[in-house]
Amino acid sequence: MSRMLLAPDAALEALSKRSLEESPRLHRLKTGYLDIIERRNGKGVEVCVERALLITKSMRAPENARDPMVIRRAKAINDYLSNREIHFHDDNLLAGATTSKEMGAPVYPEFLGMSIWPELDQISTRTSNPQKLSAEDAMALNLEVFPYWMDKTVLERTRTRLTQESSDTLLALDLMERVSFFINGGGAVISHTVPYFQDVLKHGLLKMIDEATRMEHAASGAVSPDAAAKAHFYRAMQISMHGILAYANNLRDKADRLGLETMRDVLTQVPAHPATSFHQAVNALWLCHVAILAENVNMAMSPGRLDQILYPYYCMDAEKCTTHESKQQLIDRALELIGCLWFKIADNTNLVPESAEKMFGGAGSVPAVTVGGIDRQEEDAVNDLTYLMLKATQMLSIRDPNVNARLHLDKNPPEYQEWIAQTILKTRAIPAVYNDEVVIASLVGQKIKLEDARDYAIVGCVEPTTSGQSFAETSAILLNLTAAMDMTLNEGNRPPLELEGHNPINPHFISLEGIDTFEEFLAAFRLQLEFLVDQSVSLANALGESHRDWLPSPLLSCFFCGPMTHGKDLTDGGATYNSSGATHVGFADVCDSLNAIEWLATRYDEDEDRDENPFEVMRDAVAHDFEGYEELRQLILAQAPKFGSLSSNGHGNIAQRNAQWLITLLFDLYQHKDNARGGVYRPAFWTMTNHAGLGQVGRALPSGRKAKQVFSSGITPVSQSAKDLLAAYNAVGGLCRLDHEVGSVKYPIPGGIALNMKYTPFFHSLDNPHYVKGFRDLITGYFGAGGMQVQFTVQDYGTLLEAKEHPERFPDLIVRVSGYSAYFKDLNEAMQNELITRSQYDLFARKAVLLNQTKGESS
Amino acid sequence: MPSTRHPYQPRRVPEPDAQHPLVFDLVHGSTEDGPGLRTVVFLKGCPLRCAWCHNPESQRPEAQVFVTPGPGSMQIFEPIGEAMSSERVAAEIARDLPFYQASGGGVTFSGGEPMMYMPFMHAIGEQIRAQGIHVAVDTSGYFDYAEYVQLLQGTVDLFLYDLKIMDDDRHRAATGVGNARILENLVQLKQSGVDIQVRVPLIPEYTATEENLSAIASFVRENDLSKVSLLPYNPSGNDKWLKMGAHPPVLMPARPMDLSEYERWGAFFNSCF
Amino acid sequence: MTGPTTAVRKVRLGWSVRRLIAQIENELSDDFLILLLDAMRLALAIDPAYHRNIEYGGDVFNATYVFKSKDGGVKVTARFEPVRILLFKRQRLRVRKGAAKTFDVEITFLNAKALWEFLLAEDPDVFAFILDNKLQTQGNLNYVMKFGYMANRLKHLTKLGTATA
Ligand code: SF4
Repeated sequence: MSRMLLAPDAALEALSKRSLEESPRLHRLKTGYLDIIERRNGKGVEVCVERALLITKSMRAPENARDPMVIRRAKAINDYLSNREIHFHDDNLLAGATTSKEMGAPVYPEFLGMSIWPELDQISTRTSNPQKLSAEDAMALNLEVFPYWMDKTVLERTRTRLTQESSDTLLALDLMERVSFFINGGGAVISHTVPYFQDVLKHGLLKMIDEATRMEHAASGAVSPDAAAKAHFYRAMQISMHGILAYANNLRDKADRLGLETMRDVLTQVPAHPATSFHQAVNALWLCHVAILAENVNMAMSPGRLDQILYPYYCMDAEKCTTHESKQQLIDRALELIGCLWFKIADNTNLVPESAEKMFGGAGSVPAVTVGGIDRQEEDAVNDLTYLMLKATQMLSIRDPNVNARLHLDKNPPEYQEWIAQTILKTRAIPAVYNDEVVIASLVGQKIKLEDARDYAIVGCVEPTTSGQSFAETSAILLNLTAAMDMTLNEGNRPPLELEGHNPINPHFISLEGIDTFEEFLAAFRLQLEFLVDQSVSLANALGESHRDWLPSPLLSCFFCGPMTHGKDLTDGGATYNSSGATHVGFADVCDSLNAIEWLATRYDEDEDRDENPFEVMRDAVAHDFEGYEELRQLILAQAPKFGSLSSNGHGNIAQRNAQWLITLLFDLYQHKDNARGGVYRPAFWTMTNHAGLGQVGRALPSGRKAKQVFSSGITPVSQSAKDLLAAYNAVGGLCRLDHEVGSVKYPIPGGIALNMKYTPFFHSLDNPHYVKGFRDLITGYFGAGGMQVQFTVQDYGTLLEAKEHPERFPDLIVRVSGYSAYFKDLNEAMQNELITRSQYDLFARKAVLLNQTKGESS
Repeated sequence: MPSTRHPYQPRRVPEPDAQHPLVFDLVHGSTEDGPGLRTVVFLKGCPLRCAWCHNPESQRPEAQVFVTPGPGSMQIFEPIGEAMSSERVAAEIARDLPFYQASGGGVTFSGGEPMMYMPFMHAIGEQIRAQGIHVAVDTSGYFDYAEYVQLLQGTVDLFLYDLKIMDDDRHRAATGVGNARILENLVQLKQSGVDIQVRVPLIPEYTATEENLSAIASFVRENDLSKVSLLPYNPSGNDKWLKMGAHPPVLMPARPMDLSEYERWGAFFNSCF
Repeated sequence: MTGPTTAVRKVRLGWSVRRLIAQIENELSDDFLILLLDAMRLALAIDPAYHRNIEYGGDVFNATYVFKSKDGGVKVTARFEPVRILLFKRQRLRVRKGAAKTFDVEITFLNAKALWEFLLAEDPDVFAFILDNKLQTQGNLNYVMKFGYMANRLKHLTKLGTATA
């Protein structure tokens, strides 16, 4: 791929100089957006109950009660889409909105919507992240919506079934409800995937409905045991798509009444018919995204590679341009449309009860957009839209969408690398960058066809999956690795927690008294980790079965490769590829705990005067939160090997060996586990804000971390411990691509990583070629070392400390949690502290600027 | 831990020789010492005794110690110089290979005077040759050229070559050695075709004089040494002498050279061509 | 919505909660939990708006909650169930000592003190309670959510009542 209208360097240069003020519409939209997030002029985030009300009404309707579930769901979504209120809140060029509010949090009572029940009266006025809800709407939820769903959420359906079957998985459910062992995303969402929009753009919904009708007839005529189920499924697809058409028609009529002619014309063509222009394609895609959110939770539903999907339509327009002027107009218009789409994608957020703030505070709906990289034929895929999308991202500097840049070191041009660096330095956080070679190799390792792997896009935070083909359920498991460490030190228990009828929680354990060597300790740890992996997988699978039985997704299935051919819903394994993701909290903390234990065992071994068991010494120190063991703690912090420090004291290799051991172990454990859809689990290392939430309630660890401190984020080394920037990059790179054994290269993290890097900002950075080059060279070097992903927060300790104290001064300061971007002011205190204490690297010195050093200087 | 005993014992440092120097610093990702991102290996020991030396701890080959006051009447000891095998140093260098490739960097041997340890550098060179890592040497020029030809020629890609004072007597007075060998080596290196970056430290009253800089300029011109850079004076030596329990041999200005003065000397130097 | 009679009722509710608080400061036992539930029972019986929480449209709320402490100090069952008055069926809350065998949700506190801490805290930290093993639930969590809402409303009602008094 190459540049088209932006082919002359001068055109690209001119684009790079554009400012927001030159696009009055986008400027207005941004002002309106800021009013909402800063809660100015009476604006703010609102809870939107419309979806919950209409869907509940449809589900309650006696005439639908006897339909198969897939049809009931489709009818409910159709009822909602057909009867929604139509609003145009601003002069955005695109029609359609996720909710009826300017920025709304939709309610999904099928999942965790009911968790706000106790707070219905306070949610409008609470101090952190208030979400406006009228008394009338609150009462409607309380009296009409929630009572219907009380026994019908995914979690409760699962509980009921497991109880009826007296299943062993009930233990897993109990563990999950203790919060700190693992969390299964299946109770909260199905989403977390990248749909396939190419068909609706190319053929239009009417054609797709025809196809589903034809397939329904074919299925009805067939004599096979699943013929009826297939026919129902095809029927449900049609009902769903008719819902989208009805919504589009209502929008069109309203646009017509308001005299919005362009919008009316666009909606006359799409999504019913094929898109014939860029504007139409963008709006068609947006309407389908809205419809998908009507069915599935607005969490990490990711539009994917928009610069590729929309490019043919941009080219249709471009081919019509003959004069320089018309080309310029097209570029302007395309930029404006992309900006409009970004605001649309950002028009919704999650409903977050205060009790969950601690774990998930500050999350948006994390719709991930992916740009750049290579195409299915391994050619450079960077095109005009790639640059226009990066430009829109720079100009708007807003949290959503979560923009991700793919980078292929050999195929993508140098100016693209430059643009990525510039965009990050301008927004201070966006985009995250992915190494095409390592990601593609990791996916191929998952038996994904090479061509499909090359067409990967990011889901949610950082999870790479093949676009529109892989139902990847990347949030199936979030496992707290430090729980396994706790259980190793406590003979399969986790004081003070007690589980009735399960003492110890894991019946299999090795008592520390009997342990003589570090290898034996590793075996003991492995037992606990295996137990937690088994438990979390069994519950994730049970939830997956509930999705299939109670929450089929016929609408999303329309926008995916596989379901139409197989006659099977996505939740039933209808997609081409069917994996699940398992991510992990506390990776670096557990690595450093293993390192500290090995270090102590070696010291004791070398010292003939010591006859205590070092493992028991460590257990006691941790049990007392290092009270009375402060000297040991200081020695651990100063001398034990640390993940992310490869060199200088000669210990580095120990740290890397232990990290590789843990990564490989997890890979092997998950790859042998089947999910409910016939796929396997893929390990990952990203943590959103959970490392802060879980850390805050976690007990001390052998790494020297005291109780109630945040854990390290994603795969990032423990804050303030990895002082040499290149060493940190090398350490992480060396895990994504394992080649320590000659001749065998392994990619053990197919689920994705989040590596957080914080750089000291350099205020003239954009004019300073050294800074930009240094920035770029580090990304390239890290990718060369095997690195899969990296994301940046370009801020210093001082600014973040000030922003914590005076949030009003920094209302739109964007930072990176582990995965997505967030507004700093929206984060809870633990997460703010994690960001403040996160190692800050001086890009010129390539060394960590330690927090206490700067404190000393500033005071 | 129940007892207060230290579970760790300090290492004993062996006597250095040409095969086994002490490393007093090893920096990853430097951009100061040659092109791109570089690993810089600082070897301890130098035949010169420059009055302005900013790394006085690098002059003597054997292990030394910095002593600084700690809390109360305590003292903090910081050993200078660690014995590292050539294998270990080679591994440290190889570690950053992807970053050299990304930025056009490599390894730089510095000191002290790294050319005191040509066998050691040779051993390392053998180990990293296959990876094609760019090798630079930061030298005072005071070394045995024959040994260089025998052990290192072909291994070193770039010399960062210090030129200090052109007048032989003044050179001897300021650094303890004459400059004949230094100039001779430079000419020979130039003729051998290796890449050379000449570096002139601007030391007020020593090297930064009009007479000296114009002499350097004509030497550079005569020998066709196209790459020359001037380094501003940086007074880090004084403190380090004190931390080693000694007094600086000559008290040097305490302030670094300011930008305008640095630019003045740059303009003067350019005017000599 | 709030006619004069309702206002009077709220005054009485406020009074009962004040008595309740006086009580719990002295002793920690079933009685004080029963008192709290009694206030809810009373409110459901006399405040039509509040009553809608257990009877609205075609929905009636039938559920059994068990509250207990691990140390056995507290065992209380609260049951939302229909009662027949002449020809009418009406939902009500019945509170009794002892733990029912079957329930929709069982809420167990480590001891009476934990329960007391939880109920009196301005903004109880559910996570901390769960992780410190002070609180655990068995059964349908949505019932806990609903109960949370009703208790919250009750607090609201009685506060209003206190103000009027
Ligand atoms: S040559 Fe360098 S290291 Fe040696 S004395 Fe002079 S300034 Fe110091």
